[in-house]
Amino acid sequence: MFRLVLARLLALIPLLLGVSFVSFLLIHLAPGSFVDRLRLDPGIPPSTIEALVVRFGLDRPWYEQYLSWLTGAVHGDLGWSLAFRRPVGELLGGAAFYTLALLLTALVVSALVGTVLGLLSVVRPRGALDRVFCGLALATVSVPTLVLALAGLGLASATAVLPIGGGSVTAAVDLNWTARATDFMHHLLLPALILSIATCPLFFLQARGGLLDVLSAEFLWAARSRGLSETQILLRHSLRPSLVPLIAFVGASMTRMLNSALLIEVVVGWPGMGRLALQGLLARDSFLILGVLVLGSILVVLGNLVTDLLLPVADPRIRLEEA
Amino acid sequence: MQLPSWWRDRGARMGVAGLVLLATVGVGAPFLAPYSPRAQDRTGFHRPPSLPGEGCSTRWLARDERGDTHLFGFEGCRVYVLGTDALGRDVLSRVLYGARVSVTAAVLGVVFTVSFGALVGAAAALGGGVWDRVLMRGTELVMALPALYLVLAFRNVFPDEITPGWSSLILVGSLAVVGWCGVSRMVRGQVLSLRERDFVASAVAAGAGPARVFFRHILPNTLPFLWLQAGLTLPYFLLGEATLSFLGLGVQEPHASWGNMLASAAQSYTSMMQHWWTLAVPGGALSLAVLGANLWIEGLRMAQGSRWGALSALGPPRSPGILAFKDRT
Repeated sequence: MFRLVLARLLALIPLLLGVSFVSFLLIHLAPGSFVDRLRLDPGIPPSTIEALVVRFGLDRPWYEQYLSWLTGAVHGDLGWSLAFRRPVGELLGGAAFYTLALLLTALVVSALVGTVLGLLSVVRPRGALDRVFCGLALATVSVPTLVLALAGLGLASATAVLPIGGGSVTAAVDLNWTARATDFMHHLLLPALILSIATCPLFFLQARGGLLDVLSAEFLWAARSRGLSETQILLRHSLRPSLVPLIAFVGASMTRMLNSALLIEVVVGWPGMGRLALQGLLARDSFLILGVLVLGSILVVLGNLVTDLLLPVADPRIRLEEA
Repeated sequence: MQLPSWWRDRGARMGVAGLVLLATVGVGAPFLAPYSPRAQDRTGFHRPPSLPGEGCSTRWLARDERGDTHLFGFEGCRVYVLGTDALGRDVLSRVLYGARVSVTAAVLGVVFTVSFGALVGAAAALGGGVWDRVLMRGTELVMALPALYLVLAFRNVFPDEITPGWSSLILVGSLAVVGWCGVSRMVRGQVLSLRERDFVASAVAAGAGPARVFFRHILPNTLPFLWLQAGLTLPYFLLGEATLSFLGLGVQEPHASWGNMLASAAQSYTSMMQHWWTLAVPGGALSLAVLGANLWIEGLRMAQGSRWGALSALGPPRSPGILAFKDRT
């Protein structure tokens, strides 16, 4: 297993090289740059702008710029964000913390709720409960995350129950750590709730499908003939094998969740990676965009790796091969 | 003519009917909309939905001041059936014109994505070797990036303010760059498995050349599968258009699109619940369009042998359909 993880992490290196190269090309092809916008400001003397250009190597050919970025990145320096006037690494670290908190909370909540609803639903397939849940799932899947986020924002602002915008109150620096943690959770509630509602029906449908597949398996006839109750059959014999497709689905839905998270972050003002990426793009902040794209693809690949490692836990017949 | 296999599902039929209705609305927007989507009523900002009251009559097939015929109009008053937005524009007219943008983006996007993805997938499967490896590494690269981030970066390559025609093309193009990868990987897998089947072997034994084998025996059998891919990419483009327009990178004001209608509703989010119709109308239209697409996808999936989709609990009981391969030797 250790060798597998190592092999997969090594395979990440060419991928990240490719990703960073493609991102760099895209940024380079985009018209205008951060410096061009500064030039429009008559209050900034041209000598200052020229000094900026020379300092950040913006006058050098693009491949030299890429190589110098790459050299820095390998040494842990992801460059300087011109728009935020802070190192990109520092900005990304903060934003990644918020995005991961949002993703993981929503993942745990929607996977748990989805599985429980799936279990309730397969007690009597095609029964009243199953029909209601499936209808609700189909309806909820069809409401775009954007609309959900806007509706959540509107409700939160109309009722003033949940805080909107940011990850903490302004005075958070003065608070002790328990108060800060509660404050953080309080701010996390709205975005996490929206993302959970958006992803829960997907997990429910997946869990239900997995359970129904297992329930027609022959080993359950053996369990029934031994006189086990239906509850025991469902919870002790069907649940665990049905988790395999569910776990595989988590890995596959990583990009989907990041997309939804971006929209939610932008709409409710959660200071995560998606919002940072959009701000960077609109300000033409090249190193910041590069950093966010690379970090995003690391998250996607790591998400897939973690789910691959979890699969043998759910089904010991699955063996990880060193590919 | 044989009915497609998804026709057996009532849900899928309803979904397709909804999509056809959406396309009709998009095409007929100038006739169906009572007002111009850009006309402002400066006396009525954020006017709630209302029906014609006293001293105000509805005229069917009414002519407006420019001599164009509309499905309905009002005499002696201005009535906004679905209310007005923050600039006093008719929400109903805007949502009907917005359907045009959505339908155009969806049709262009699906046709391009599925045909290009199928081409690349088939080329990778049949070319084999280096071709296969280069193309598949390329798709892996694109799929390792979070899709929306990549779409935004692609959109960013083009200038912000451009003519509406170009902006919708660029919008579809940016979305398609990410979209074709999934299709091509699926098609590649499908072609690889079809190639090993007996009817292909017998066609080869009967002396059919590679082109004939591909076009007569392999391609027709990927068709049900391509339909499913088309269904799956449909909501992607509907949502993608709305998302980019919402973020200000797609269709720009004053042109109406569901995405920028949502954006203008969100501008005054503290009072969004008072003006609920500015959010609910475009949001509802988008959700219904996606629901239609989802119902169709579920029907296609069930027709191809998936047993436990959401529709399986809702529709009448039926035996799982098994994807039948047509043997054309």
